[in-house]
Amino acid sequence: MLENIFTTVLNMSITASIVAIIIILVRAIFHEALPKLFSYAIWGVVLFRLLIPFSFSSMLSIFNIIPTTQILIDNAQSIGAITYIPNEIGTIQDTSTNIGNKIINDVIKSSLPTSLSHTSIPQTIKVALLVAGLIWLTGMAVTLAYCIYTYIKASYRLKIAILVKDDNSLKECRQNLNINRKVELFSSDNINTPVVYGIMKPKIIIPKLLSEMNNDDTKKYIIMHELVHIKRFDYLLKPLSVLALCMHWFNPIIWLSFKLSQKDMEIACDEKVISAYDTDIRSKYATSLINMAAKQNGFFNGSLLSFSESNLKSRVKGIMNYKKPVLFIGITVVVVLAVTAVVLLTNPAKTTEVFSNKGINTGGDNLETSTINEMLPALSPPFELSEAKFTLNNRAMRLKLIMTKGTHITDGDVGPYGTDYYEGNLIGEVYDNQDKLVFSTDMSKYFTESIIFRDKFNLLFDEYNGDGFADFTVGQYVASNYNTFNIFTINSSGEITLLPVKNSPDGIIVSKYDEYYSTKFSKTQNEEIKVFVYDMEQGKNIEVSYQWQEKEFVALTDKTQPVQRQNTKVALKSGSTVNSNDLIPNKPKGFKS
Amino acid sequence: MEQIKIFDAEYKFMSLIWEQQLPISSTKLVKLANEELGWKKSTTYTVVRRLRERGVLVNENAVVTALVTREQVMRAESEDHIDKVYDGSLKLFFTTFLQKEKLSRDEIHELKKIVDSYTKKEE
Repeated sequence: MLENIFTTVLNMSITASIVAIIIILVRAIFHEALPKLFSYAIWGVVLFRLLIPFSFSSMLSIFNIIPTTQILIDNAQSIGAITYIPNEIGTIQDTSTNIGNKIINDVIKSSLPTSLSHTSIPQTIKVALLVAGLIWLTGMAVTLAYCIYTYIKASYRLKIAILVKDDNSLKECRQNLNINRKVELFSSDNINTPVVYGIMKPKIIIPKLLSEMNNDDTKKYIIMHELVHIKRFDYLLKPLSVLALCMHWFNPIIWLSFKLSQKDMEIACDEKVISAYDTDIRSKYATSLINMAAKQNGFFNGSLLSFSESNLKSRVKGIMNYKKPVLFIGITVVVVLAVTAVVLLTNPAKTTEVFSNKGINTGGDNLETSTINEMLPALSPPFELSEAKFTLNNRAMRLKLIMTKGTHITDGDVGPYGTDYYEGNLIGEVYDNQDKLVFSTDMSKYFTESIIFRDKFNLLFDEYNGDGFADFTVGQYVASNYNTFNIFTINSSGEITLLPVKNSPDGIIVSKYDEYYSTKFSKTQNEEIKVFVYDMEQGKNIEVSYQWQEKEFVALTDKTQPVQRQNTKVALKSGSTVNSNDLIPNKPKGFKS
Repeated sequence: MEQIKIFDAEYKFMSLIWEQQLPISSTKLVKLANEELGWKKSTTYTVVRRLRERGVLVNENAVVTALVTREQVMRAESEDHIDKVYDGSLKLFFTTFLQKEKLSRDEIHELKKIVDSYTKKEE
């Protein structure tokens, strides 16, 4: 669990860092020519990336160029999360344990439900992530605790600030900026720089000295400055940024971004103050700032949470250099800002599907798949694939599925099976309770395509044809969203035979199943098998039932189906293609082999 | 005397209590603080708690009574100021003070009276 949270944070950190570096470069290249409002606004993208792990996909995303993988969270809305380190969003943790003793391992394995995790991460990396996660959590707790501590310490002094009633400067400034929200002005003798305090009802607190200065415009300009912060909700953005900083305390790029974004925020605020007046107040405004700074006596400095007046030199410089923008430029800036935001804020359009081990896919128009590199537990030849207990004629028996002839492919092409899988035959061995082999069946003949397994799996038994003999399923991957399952039964002599499906030599096609290689089918009240198959035309899973008729399963036609359906090509693992219409047994035609 | 108060705001708050000259109910005090200082109820209660911890006032049965007078506070603040700025030397304070301030005849007369009565006490 912690590993997942940590990898999510790490992924967010990397994504945000990429965006931050781009922004820093752009700022460095354009320097003074870049409107500070632009820089200030675009830092919002970094903040978003730091706090929210997912985003919408778009063709304009810069991440279409930068190599990443993306996990789809909601296919319908094209919302996904960018990952650099494999994340197990939506997958069950691998529950296998290794105590070191084979017998105990086997005992544990047979009693635990094995999870089929095609994205499972090996134990050593898992442990490393857990340790790193703990370090991260500690670091975050410490940084957060420090921030909260300084805030609380500061808050008493700010809370007892005294209300300044009927202040004309405040009224004037509020009108100037068109702020309808109620903002109150307070005065305090223990701060030396003005502060915006409060989350719900922001208050402006100014030093006592300032509140008594009514002869020049200093007070007015200072109040204007704080009101601009209020108008732009900076008093909410600041704590959010601090929170993001605590979460990403380990990332120096984020620390730099924080410092630069605060600087840009102040300068953008100054620019707004100047542009709010018709006359040129630049030198008067700059003088006010210098006056304020001169009165600092180190009395109180909650710089992390208040709007500190650091960077005075760059602010004064920025103020004197400020030129009121022509309307045309203003609009251009907004357009460029919007485009840049989309480029940096959205996720890549190409979606790479990750197999969740539940195999439940609600989408599927994109058949191009890639996998995250996964490592299989080593199987020893003959490759033992599965083992399960079952009852035959009231006797306890054991079924073992093994691959006696085959290849362990470790450098396979990037495709649905990844680079590591086993391809070969399938033998089913039935043992009695004295561990004597009763019957060995070569099940390979029941499969039309080559048999491929990536992992050991759990065999799921049930009764499907009502003959009293235990049945089990063995599945194979066909295409994304489609798996086929053959239903086998074991007769009294221990022989494994196939329970065929009419017009479907590969068995029952499903889009929803427990695990890739074996599943338990739901049954209707009439003891019919009920499965879900994804219909691409309708864009949803539809229910199909199969009824056992004498010697085979027959698909019952789904009467709610529209007859006309667009025929699209579905790529099979073998490279051949099949028509989508054929996958839905309304017009059963079987696979082309 | 230990530090009684630091903040101007706390002093103004105590002024509200001193002006009453009688113990004041906490609800009335909250209302007063809100009107005069713009404080929320929780703020007033926090300040009362802090001042109570410093021995400046007591809060019994929702009635607040000051334990120090305004004069005591002024004295403590002045002593503290002289300690800090004039290294505890009262003489230095007065000479500096007199150099800057222009006193009226009446004020000089008053000061003389105070010094005289003080000298008398010493004898």
